[in-house]
Amino acid sequence: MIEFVLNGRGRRVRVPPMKRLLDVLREDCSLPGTKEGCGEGECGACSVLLDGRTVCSCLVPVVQVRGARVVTVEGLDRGGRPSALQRAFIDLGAAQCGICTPGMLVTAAELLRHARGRVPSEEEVREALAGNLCRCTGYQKIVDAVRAAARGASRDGAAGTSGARAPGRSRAGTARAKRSRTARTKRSRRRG
Amino acid sequence: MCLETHGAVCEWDGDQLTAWVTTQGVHQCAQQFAQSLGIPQSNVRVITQYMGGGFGSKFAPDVQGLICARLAKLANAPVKLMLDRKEEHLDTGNRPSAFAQIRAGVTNDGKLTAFDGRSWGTGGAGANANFPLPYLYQFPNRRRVHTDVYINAGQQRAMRAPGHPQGCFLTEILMDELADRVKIDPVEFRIKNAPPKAPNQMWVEYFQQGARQFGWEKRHPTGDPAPGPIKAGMGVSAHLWGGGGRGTQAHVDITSDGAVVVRCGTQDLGTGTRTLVTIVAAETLGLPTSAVKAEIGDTNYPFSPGSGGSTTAASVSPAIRITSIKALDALFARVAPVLGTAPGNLVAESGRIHVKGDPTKGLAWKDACKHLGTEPITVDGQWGEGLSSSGTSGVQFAEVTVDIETGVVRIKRILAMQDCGLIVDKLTAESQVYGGIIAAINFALFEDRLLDRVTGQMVNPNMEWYLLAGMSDIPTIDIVLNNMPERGVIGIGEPPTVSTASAIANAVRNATGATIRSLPLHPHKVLAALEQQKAGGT
Ligand code: FES
Ligand code: FES
Repeated sequence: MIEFVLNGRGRRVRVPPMKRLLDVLREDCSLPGTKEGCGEGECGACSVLLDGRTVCSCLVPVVQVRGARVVTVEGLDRGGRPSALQRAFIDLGAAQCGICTPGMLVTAAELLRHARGRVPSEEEVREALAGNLCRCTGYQKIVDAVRAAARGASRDGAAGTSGARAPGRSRAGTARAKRSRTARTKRSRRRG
Repeated sequence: MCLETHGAVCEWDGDQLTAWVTTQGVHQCAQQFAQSLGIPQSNVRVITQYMGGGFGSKFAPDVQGLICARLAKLANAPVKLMLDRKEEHLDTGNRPSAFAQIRAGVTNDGKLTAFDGRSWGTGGAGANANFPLPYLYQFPNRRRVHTDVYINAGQQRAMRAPGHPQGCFLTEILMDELADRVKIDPVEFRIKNAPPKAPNQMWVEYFQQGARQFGWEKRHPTGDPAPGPIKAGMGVSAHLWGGGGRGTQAHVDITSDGAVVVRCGTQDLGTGTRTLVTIVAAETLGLPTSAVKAEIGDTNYPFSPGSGGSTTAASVSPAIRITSIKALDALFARVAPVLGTAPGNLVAESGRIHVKGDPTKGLAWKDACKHLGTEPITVDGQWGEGLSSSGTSGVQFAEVTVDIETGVVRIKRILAMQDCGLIVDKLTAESQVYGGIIAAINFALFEDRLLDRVTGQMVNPNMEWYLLAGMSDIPTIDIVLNNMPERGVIGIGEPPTVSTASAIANAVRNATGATIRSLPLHPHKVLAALEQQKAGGT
């Protein structure tokens, strides 16, 4: 039995300890918002917040979230209404097929929380989301939406994540997933 | 390659199969399930509410869909079967390759005279790989021999604008080399040789307007004279695409509570078809989009063709428009007696039905619909002539920098001039252009399917070594959409992805002076081209 806090509520699952967090969320917790793009830590579609930090849930065995707080895209809304970030994605057309969108939202939510009401520069947004691949949109509208949400949030002081405010505790899965993201970030920098 | 892999969920109820498939054509997919499983098509229902992109690769149930259906039958339970990333790369097709040897003639004053080309391409095992060549420009004399080369590798599939990026690239890099031979500016050279202006051939105008907007006059001749390893350059390219569509059927219900439901068996690949259906119906009925429910992506709804060739908007929009008008006429006929007028005198706008020219003589939509009582409006309609056409044109400009020490190409700016007939929804139309351009940046700089020369196996079937552009690879993109309402709806999914890679390749040539004849422009290829240039070859 593994217990953790999922989108602000206590949750217990009886699953094999090495089952991927991604599959536990989708299959055992009935939260299909988190998507699989590659299953190998490269695309970011499966991003969730683990103790406030973005991880690739395809790389995290569920045993590693014991006692931790997990926030998925389903946990980003504000009492059933879209958050400022989600609203901005809708209004500016920052999604096409939507497979990358949950991962983009979760990662952007972390960025906005760290920005604490400051509007991140285009560069900062690109850097923060460098580990999230999108095949459809061409990215620009995603960058615009994140910054628009930040502008809105700096007015009303709320754009980010519910239930994910605990300071990050470092975990093996977190570190591994982070490394992978950094690798891609570096690689894309190397390319250009 | 889509971010969502191919796959399905299948469930049987007796001899009835319901399949939730990620497909660009629900009706055609149902037909193929029926044929392959040897069951009547009426026993198959295919549902695609949402899907994670298609780009041409997702139509048929494929092996995985049929296995999924068979397993579900054997298990007597629903079965989900999604390919993993490796299977996706190995098994669901790719853009076929292209190779050409070209000789061309041009007069001293820059008029093309002849094109003589031999081309090859491989679509894998037994599939063809042809593409248009020469592309777009007017060569008065032309000869071309094409050979398909079959190899022991997975079969090709349609990939956004099949054939065009290849033909466009081969022709457009030739155009820049020829322009240099006769010492004419590449834009001017293209204008001299482009087909004459017509509604579906707007190139000359786009070259002129785009060059002004892009700052083309600042372009230096081939080879950036600036000191240092970072060289800058500009390039240009033009393209065409057909689009246009027909055949869609639709159904509209209006009930006494004022609810409007539009049903159509089309599907939304992420391109915004659901939005399109909603917008066209809402505007026709004079309602806000929130008052219309669009139901699509299900073979239980009226037939609509598969979404390929940028044909969906042009087949769906007229059908929705015509069916909504029919429904509105039926509603007018029921409401007119209440308002003491003839149906022909009524209009629907701003959520009201009222007498033409007199908004006070009317009823709010909901109140008008109350008069339907127990007998709702329920009408069928279909695509008709006059609201759509085909044939689009576009031009793109690119500015790049090239680090001649590392071979790394960085794209600074892209300008896209594009038409697509009547723009139904600017936001989603622009999104298609952005998406098309990034797909082509991938084609130009990153995506490369590496095959083992002996076995034909793909050696990079993953997202680690099969590269895709990320956020930090994206340039500033400016889009000029030319709205041509008089042409009706045409479609925009594919055209914007054709030119980008050629414009980038020409910009790299302009920056470095090196002859660029191959894509993708991975750093080692750029360095090899620079070496060759130093050695004095072309
Ligand atoms: S599914 Fe791609 S990173 Fe996890
Ligand atoms: S919207 Fe389709 S992958 Fe991003």
